Amino acid sequence: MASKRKTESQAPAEESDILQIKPLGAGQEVGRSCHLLEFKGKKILLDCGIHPGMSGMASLPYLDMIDPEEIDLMLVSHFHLDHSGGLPYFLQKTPFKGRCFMTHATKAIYRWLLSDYVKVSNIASDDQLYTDGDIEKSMEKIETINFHQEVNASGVRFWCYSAGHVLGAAMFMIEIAGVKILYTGDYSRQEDRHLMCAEMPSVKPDVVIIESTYGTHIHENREKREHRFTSLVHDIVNRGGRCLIPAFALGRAQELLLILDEYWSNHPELHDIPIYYASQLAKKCMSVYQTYINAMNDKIRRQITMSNPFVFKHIINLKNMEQFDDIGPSVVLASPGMMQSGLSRELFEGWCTDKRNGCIIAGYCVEGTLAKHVLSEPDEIVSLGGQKLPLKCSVDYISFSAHADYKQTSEFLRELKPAHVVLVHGEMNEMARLKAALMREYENDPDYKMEVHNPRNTVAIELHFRGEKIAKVVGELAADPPKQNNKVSGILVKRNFNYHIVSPKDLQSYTDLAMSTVSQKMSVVFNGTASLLAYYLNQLAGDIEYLSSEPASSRSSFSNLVIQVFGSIKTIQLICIIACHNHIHVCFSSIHINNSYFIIILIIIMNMSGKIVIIIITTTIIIIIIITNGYLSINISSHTNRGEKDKNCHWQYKIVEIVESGVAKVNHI
Amino acid sequence: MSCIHYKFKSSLDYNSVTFDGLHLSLTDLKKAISHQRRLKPGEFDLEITNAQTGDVYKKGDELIAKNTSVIVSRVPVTRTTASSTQKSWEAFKQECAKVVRVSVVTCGPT
Repeated sequence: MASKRKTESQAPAEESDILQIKPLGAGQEVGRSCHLLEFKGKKILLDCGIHPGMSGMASLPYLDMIDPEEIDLMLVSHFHLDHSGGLPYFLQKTPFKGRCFMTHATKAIYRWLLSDYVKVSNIASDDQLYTDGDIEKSMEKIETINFHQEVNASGVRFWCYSAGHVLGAAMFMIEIAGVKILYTGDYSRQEDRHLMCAEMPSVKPDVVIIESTYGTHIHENREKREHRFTSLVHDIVNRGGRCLIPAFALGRAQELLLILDEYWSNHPELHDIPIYYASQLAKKCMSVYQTYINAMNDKIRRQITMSNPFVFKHIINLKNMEQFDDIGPSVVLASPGMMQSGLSRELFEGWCTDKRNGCIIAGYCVEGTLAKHVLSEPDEIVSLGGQKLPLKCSVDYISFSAHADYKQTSEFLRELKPAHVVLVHGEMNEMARLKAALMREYENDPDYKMEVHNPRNTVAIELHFRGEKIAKVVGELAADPPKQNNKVSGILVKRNFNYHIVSPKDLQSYTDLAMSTVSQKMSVVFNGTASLLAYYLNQLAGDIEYLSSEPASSRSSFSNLVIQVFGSIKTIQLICIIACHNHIHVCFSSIHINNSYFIIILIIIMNMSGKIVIIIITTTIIIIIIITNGYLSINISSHTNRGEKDKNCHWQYKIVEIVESGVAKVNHI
Repeated sequence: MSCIHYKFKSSLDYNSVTFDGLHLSLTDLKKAISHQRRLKPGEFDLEITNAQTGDVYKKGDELIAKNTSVIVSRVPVTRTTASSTQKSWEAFKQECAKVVRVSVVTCGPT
């Protein structure tokens, strides 16, 4: 993967010290989260969402600023549309060929949530980014992991922690070459009815990419918030109005349903007033909720053993508008959460003209959506059909959206103390305020310096991580304890980002590599006797050793006689002469020194066969001249002890005429 | 009917824009692509590059011949309001500096 590499004039990407973080979406804005992380040649994409306030191609992050083919890894934090809405497009409609990971619950819910989004979005079909078929096909490309499960994919090690926020939401800790980066996605450090709070990572990261949705705000107390919510709902139904709570089918809706169900159980006077949970995929998705109980908090898990808390006593599931009898006061939870289209929009347009009715916005709203617009209390709104409708119903905002507030963010970062903080997923001014507040917290601290960055979309942050290069010495080289100024020499083996030094002998046991030797064998025809051979070899080398049994008589035709020559010279590897029948095989291992010795031995053997041989040896070259049967051949070979390649030149001539002793006319052939 | 083929940099296949005539200006091409893809003019601009030569088309009135293949990149538009006031302030400062220099030169040593 990632086979295309652009040539660089400086150090190659794998060795560079620069870590680059580039938001392609959710940089100084909320929506279409997508962050590119580049380090040591690895490219990782974090989330791929869509912007709920825009439609079509414009709602995607700036994917044109990257090359999808070069991305190695794609990590998705949770199933909200602004983090996973662009995934089917990215997986099916771009040349991305890396691996994609998310938690089990995220994958299960992603399937149905995005399917619902496709149905509900009312753009013409040729403008839709992807179809239900694309979502289905993308499921095969997504791999799932569990919380705390460590995965090693293409040299990158990562694992995830629980992030709270919604079911299955994860914070990814990524490690590349010893540098740790934590991406929080959306997280909350407050426990709620069914989710646990975000975990504190056990290792300290060097860089934290953190959400800044609520900037410097502080949430109100949880009990107070719930009380405010339930009393508001009670007031609306008491005055005979309908209460609309727009919320996406999954996510915070489950929390609201738990709260309402409990409140209704405690207030028998409300038992006549129906609560509707309007979602076509409610049934499918509730079964998902009931499956992934182990991703929720302990309280719910204990409750499950007694009775299923998601089987509600007072809440009725509405499949579509036809089932809904709009008689009298009621409470309806309908999707989508920001009322861009769909059922919640329809109901809102139908109810907003009556001043008894009320709408409670229970989650974060993005710029450009009706929910955000309505919060500013305009006099009238524009319906989907273009009609102007007067806004008479009450509108309130009670946020259950489970993001960290300033207090939680500050404590979280104080505990982790990373060297760099990158703020994403926050509106521009909020983010700037958060950055200033965080920097002010640590400006008087002499020991710890935190750098806070808040990049705009497509603007990259470059961080330098020098990193010490550590090599582990293993095997026999590690037998003696090290001393200062001692030199260690061996083979440096690099696997992903780990370095080891081993001696060549240990190579086989510590790696998959094996040492091998190349040996050469040269065969020459020889018609002499064993003793003749032995005599000449003795003359040449002095010490010869018989590795097989000595011949009984000097005249016997020898077979399989093995003689080792030059055995006393330790610098050369074995040269053996194996004589059998009329051939002599000279075997030696191919190191450069042996070349020269081999030639000398060859000359001796050929000399014995009645050829005239002249050898000229200087310190660097050996010239061999062989005259036989009217042919003259000259061989020049260079030999050095410095490990340079040996060079061989060879010429052959035909002797034409002998002019005088020692001089002859030759023709080059 | 002539057409120009375009492909978004991150997508896999080509689409076409049809028009009458032999070529289309850059601004017209951008409008046609935005219209076809229902992109409302917002915080981004389209950068058009020739698929074969790799040249980026910069000027709005540059003409692109029919049957050309182009690659479209969606790029964010930097907020010009802040930088334009900055630019005009810098320009104003430079003007003042020039005036001062001129006056210094004129009132030379007496």
